[in-house]
Amino acid sequence: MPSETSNGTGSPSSDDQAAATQRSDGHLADGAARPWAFAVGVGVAVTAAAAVAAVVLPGRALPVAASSTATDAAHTIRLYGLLAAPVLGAVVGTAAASLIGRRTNNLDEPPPDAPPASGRPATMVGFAFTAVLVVAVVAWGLVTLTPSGAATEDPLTVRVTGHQWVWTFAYSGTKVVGTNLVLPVGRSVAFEVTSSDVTHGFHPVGLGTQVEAAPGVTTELRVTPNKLGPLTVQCTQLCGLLHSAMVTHAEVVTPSAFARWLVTQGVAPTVARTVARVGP
Amino acid sequence: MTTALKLDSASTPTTWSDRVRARQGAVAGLVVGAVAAAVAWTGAHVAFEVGNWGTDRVTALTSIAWILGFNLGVGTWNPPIGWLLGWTTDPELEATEAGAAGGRSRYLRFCTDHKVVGIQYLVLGLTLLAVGGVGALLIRTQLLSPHSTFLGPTAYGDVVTLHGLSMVIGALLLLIGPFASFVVPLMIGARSVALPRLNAMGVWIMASAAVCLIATVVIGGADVGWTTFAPLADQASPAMTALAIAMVGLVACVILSGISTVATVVTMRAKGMTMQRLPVMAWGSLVAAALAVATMAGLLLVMTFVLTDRTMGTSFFVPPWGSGGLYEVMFWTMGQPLLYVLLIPPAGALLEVASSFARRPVVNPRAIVVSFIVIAAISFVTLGHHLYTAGLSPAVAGASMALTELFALPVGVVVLCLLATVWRGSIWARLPLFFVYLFLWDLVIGGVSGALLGNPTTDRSFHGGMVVTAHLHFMMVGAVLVGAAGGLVYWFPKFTGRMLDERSGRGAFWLIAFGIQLTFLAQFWAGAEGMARRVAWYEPGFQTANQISTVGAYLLTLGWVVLVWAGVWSARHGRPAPADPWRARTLEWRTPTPVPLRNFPVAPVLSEDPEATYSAWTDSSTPGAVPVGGHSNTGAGRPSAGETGGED
Repeated sequence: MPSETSNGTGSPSSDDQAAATQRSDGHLADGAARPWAFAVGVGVAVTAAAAVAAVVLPGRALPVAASSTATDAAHTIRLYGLLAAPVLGAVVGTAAASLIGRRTNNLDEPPPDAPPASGRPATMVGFAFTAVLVVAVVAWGLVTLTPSGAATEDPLTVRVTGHQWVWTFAYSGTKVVGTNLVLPVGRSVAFEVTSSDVTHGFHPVGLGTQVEAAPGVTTELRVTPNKLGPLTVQCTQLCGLLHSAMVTHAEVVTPSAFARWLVTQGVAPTVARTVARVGP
Repeated sequence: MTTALKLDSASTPTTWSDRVRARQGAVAGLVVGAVAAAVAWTGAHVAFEVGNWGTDRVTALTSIAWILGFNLGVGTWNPPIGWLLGWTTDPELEATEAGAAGGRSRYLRFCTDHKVVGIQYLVLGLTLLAVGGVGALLIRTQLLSPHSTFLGPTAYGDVVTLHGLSMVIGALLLLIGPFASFVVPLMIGARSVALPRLNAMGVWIMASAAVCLIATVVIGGADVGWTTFAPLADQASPAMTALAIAMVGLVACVILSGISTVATVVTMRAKGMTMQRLPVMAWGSLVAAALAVATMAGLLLVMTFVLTDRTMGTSFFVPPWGSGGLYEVMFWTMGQPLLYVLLIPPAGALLEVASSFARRPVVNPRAIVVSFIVIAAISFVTLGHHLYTAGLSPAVAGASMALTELFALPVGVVVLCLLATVWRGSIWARLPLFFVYLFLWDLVIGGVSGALLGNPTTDRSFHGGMVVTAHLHFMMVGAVLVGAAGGLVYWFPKFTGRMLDERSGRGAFWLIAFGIQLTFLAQFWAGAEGMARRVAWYEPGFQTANQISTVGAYLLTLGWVVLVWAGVWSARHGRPAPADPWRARTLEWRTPTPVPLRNFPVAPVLSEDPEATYSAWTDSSTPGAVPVGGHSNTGAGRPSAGETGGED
């Protein structure tokens, strides 16, 4: 019979049994009389820690918000972090409690079988809990889909063109084209973004939004800088050899400083004041 | 060979095709492939002027000739050629091809034994993961300091591409081979796979395609990222052409093995193994294989268009008529489901692990199966979340967001069932179980960050940045590779006939567990600060996070090395494994180790008692068992080769 010859190493060797008697340190702990209490305790602790982290850490890591779009994004990040905290708590609490119950570290002999579990009530509760979170996440996402305050009238239009590996900025109403990005504070900017070669990603870090720069296509990005100071413009789409170096430093200035800057770029003072919307 | 086989062969005249086939194998493949490539290279240089399209045409023809030649030498094309030419085959040769001869050399041959194919995939997958791992170390070393000159920008870009592709493909091969090809047929009580030749063809095609992929770094490099977005890819060196051909080879491999897996699970189940009673692991592989076959046509189309754009001047993704936007949409139509293909089988494997080490059946298997199917279905309609910054209308962005966030439900059900399986279980703290807990933790981190990136508002802060990198690595390393590793450790005794050394395995586990957290949590931090991904240089402010990430990556790599080393050592010197070391419930443990050629001494029949889902089955001592069918002379149930050592 084939089956006789194929047993081979199929039966446990006597070494196994000897080892089993020697290493009897593995114990079958059945101490956790109240795994629920343990799970809830660990779960609440982890939830609390994760919630604190979700509120505190974004403020420490994220770049300084220079627009209401960035502030809104930071709020969403915190909110999603808060919604995620009980998920992490529930998973870690349950998983940890499963380890403190009946358990053996004996390498050679498995513990006796656990009673089968239907798991249906727990799964239903967990599913409902997940569904509530998903509804919250989607609802909040739909509410914030259009950035608040972005669609104001009378924006400053800047045509942005990505090249390998530099950005050029053209200010509408003037003939200014260059690699410097200077923006007036408090005024909506409409970036009309395109590319002259491959796909780039136009990401003014700190303004909390970005858009793809694709050849042959013009994508629009509206945002209102609300904080004076420097900004970093970064390419976020791998665009070849010097993608890493495709970084431009931009500046958000007062409207009058913006008008003065336009003048230094060769714009007539009257035109500069009109474009910058500053009085004479 | 046994005497019986010798007698059979003596009556068959040896034909020229048999003499050729006796010499086929990996070595012949290398020789024939190299000759074919050299001939094609020379011929293409005569036919085309180098430069413009010429160099790409030379690369394309050379790569295709290499793949065709290598597989000709190996014997991959024997089934269709033999059928076409009406070869009458020497039974002994046929038996050898089916793995009956045993010995180590069958691993270097075209062998239709699904277990041999599974191990071939395992070696190939680990090789690609090792290549990707070296790439990861180079990348992380470059990023130790803000303006490092360790790698030049060109080499850095080439390494980024190779790292991403070889990791994704390597992980995929672990799921195709050891899981779908080796374990699943045993798990469903099959004595073979439904399409053994198809199953065996995939691995050799992939092996030759992997050479094309790795060769890209030598022949000019493609510094375009694993997504190889057009129009950037159109600028890349002719290495991009070799890369696209490697992708076509991948498509062939995935489709062939996927069809084989689907056919096997649908048609080859043991008597009594209804779809209702199919283990969740087999369900996971079935769903993933079907999903993979469906998506691969998309990748084939994309890569064919890339090739014609590069070699024939068509305009699918480049001006005047084509666009990179079309590429992005087409790529993610295929790429997004592909990523979920990777997640489903490891989840299935770890559910089986949880069942074995919490000593109870998987909780709520039907909910899990429905979740797998829902995950597969949704994955086709969420590509929009890759395109939030590409100018999607609010309606499309909103719909994409809702569908993306919906993933939390089926994935959540899988997590809940995994937790319910271990909850108040009777825990046997063995190494495979460790990976279940790590998987849960990483999946929550990866999933939560995925929910964050699925929102268009926050995605526009993080798109193209290190947050995305951290998220995808928590999913790909923390969930997929950890799950695959847990499964490999669990089935290690079945694969090798020996027990994995528990102590070094645990050491490796802790290195991996902490390595993942350090490496990728630090990347979340760098990304939140504003660091872009795929950059070789960065602002000095991001340095601390990058240094932590690099240290983590070294630890993580050390962990994988220790685990593989423990595996290699144990496969040679480990304690011999009993047939069922885990006292598990599924059928693959109901057959001797090493597994006989025809898998089961007698065809298993599951008890009709519906309550005894997997644990009750009949063996040869039970009345009603089906005896071995007289299918072939390939030696059903004879001692397997691993046991008797190399015979040839």
